[in-house]
Amino acid sequence: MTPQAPDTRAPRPLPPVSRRDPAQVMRLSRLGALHQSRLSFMRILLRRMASEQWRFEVPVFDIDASGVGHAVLCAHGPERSYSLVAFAHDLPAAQRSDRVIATAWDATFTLFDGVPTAQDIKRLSRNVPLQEAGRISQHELTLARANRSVRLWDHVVGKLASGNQPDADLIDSIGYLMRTTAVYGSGKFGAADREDIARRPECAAPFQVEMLTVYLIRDFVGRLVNHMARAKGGAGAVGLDPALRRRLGIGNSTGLGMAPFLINHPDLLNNWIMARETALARVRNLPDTAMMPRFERLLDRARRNADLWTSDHAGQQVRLTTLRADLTLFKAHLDSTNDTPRSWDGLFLWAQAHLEEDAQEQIVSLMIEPHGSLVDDLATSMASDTPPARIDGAVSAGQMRALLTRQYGWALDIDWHAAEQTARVWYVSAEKLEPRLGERALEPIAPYEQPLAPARDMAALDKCLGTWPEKALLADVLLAHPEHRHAARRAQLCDALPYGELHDNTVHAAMQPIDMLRCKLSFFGAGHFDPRSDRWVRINMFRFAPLPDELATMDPMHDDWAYPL
Amino acid sequence: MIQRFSLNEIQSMAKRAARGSGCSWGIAEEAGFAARWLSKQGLPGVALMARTLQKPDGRRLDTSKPVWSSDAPICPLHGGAALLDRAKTRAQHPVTFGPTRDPVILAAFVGGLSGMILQPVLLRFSNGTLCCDNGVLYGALVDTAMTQKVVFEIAPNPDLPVLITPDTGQDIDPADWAILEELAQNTYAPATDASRIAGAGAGTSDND
Repeated sequence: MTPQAPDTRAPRPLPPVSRRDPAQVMRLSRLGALHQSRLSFMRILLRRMASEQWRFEVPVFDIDASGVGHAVLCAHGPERSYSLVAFAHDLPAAQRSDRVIATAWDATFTLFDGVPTAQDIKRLSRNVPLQEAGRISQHELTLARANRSVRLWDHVVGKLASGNQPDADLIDSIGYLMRTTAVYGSGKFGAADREDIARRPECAAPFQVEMLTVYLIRDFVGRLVNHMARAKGGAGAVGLDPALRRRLGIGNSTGLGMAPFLINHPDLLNNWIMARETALARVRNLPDTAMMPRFERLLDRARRNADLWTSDHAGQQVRLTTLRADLTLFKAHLDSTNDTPRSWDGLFLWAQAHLEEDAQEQIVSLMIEPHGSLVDDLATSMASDTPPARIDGAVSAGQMRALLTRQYGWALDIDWHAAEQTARVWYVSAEKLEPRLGERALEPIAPYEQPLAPARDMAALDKCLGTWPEKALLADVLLAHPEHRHAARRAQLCDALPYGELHDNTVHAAMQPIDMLRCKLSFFGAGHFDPRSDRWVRINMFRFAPLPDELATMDPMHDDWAYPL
Repeated sequence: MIQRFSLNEIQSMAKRAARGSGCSWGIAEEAGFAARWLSKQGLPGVALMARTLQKPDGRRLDTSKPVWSSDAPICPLHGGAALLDRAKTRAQHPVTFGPTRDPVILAAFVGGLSGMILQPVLLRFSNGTLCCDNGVLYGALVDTAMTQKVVFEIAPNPDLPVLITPDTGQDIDPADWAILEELAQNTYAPATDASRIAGAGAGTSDND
């Protein structure tokens, strides 16, 4: 390489910025402050459907005046079609529950791989309404259900039936007409396995069929509310204004069931965070700030979004107040630097030094947003379809301890004798196999503990290895101590996955499962996180997203629908 | 009635059942991998797992002598796991197991071993000879509950034909599934009113 003269135009030559340190990024408090970005899975899905000009149609809408029946909504891609088969029910209010242990819902759904025949629909009608108690087949990709927001549903139907549009403020304050309480994919209840579809380009990014299911549910719900208004109001009824319809997403109630996912799939967690961190590093290294005007407009929209984001949860209210104040502070900083040379890295470092984590991560998402051509390729790196992780038993006890010190030093430093460090137990209840979190000292649940405390388990493995000669083979240690086998496998796997492990104790007395939920849900593309407790959160999906018939005109480089205008 | 299960369901049920049968979580993971692998090959992974997980012995291995052994016929999950762990240190020498139960399950570990060392691996027991090379299985297997000896060797395929399986690995006999479910039950905590409310974190109204 020939040495180059320093670029005298640059205000200050900066060394290339690398990705942030996992020790900083992988803390639960920060992961619990993530926001959706253009690398979120619903954003990736809509960009693909827009650029490939997917076609949408509703071949069946067979629902009666009481709201009972079924419908089929098809999405046709360049090579394949996918169909949402929706069953609408007439659910008495007393049975409406968002818990996973519910047994009846306002609507139930499956995503069919292709276009279903009448025979398929007959088979599905006997199973999909039963949800977990039914069976689907390898021709189906997901299973889901949803309940109405009773307050908003009745208001919207009533207004439309009388020929009026519903109250926009009420629509904004609730944000959805129905909320899903589960969207199952990846082989659950007999559905097709992930590996059956992983090679399809439209399924290359994670959770694409799950996101498509929710997107089509949103369209179905919009059609159903119009249908119910017509049934009630007859000729005088009007349809919901598309501008209002766009403001409605699909709500979702997510409980503990989702929390173990991040621990059980270190490869996926790594790939998601790696993509986001790589995107951030690319932007921070940009020599120019050509996208600054768009970034500033997006910041204003993100502030509007923060204003629309409400919660009854005391902790979340404090965080929202801080987020809004921080974004205002950032805006003031941006304005004050109007006349001086700016750099993306400079703005990032300022945010990191002056703002709380929630606002820092919002600004990360906003910095990535206008740089689609620089970062969108990363979407294809976010899946993981790797074979089972094998243990290398040929390493010595000494080498294994060195690995643990390198990767898990933070966990080895914890005082595991302190009661608060092991206060919690993750377990599965016999009742509907619901994942739960209990108190070790108060409930007799320790014998049922799930292996969801990697930090503690690594410390135990390290302690065991310490009793063996340094040259002993890991294979021999594990033969004598099979109880450490899962930890040994995980440590070796995560050694190659810098962002694969949460750098926090997942059984600590003060651990908040909602942090794990928000991390995963932000990668789905969800927004408006509204915790209902420390282990249960409501969110909104596809709020402000274009409707299916509007996708064809959406510019994939300007798919910033998640930030309200 | 025979019912089809997804590979994902088979893997997670086998893992839970193995744990419920008293295996460590790490061995339970191996049971999940093996059941999935066998089922994908068209072999009866669930039926084999149902049979072997009902026997809680043969799980402590002595690998210090030329022929590996245990207190009872070797459990193929524990034997297979020990074999995989020695992929690098013992790969160049044949490994011999003494009496072993459900040896067809070992096919999954031969597949895993071959994938790890990127070489063909040969498995011989009383009722079959099998070679796994580059993800393809060759040879013939006849199910047996017990064999007196198993030999693993890194060796090229000695002209064995591609293995023909019944290709019904995901079509499950409900009796076999029920055995795994019953074992898996041991991993679930009995529900109490307290855990129903506090454990899942609900409490506020779902109905608004």
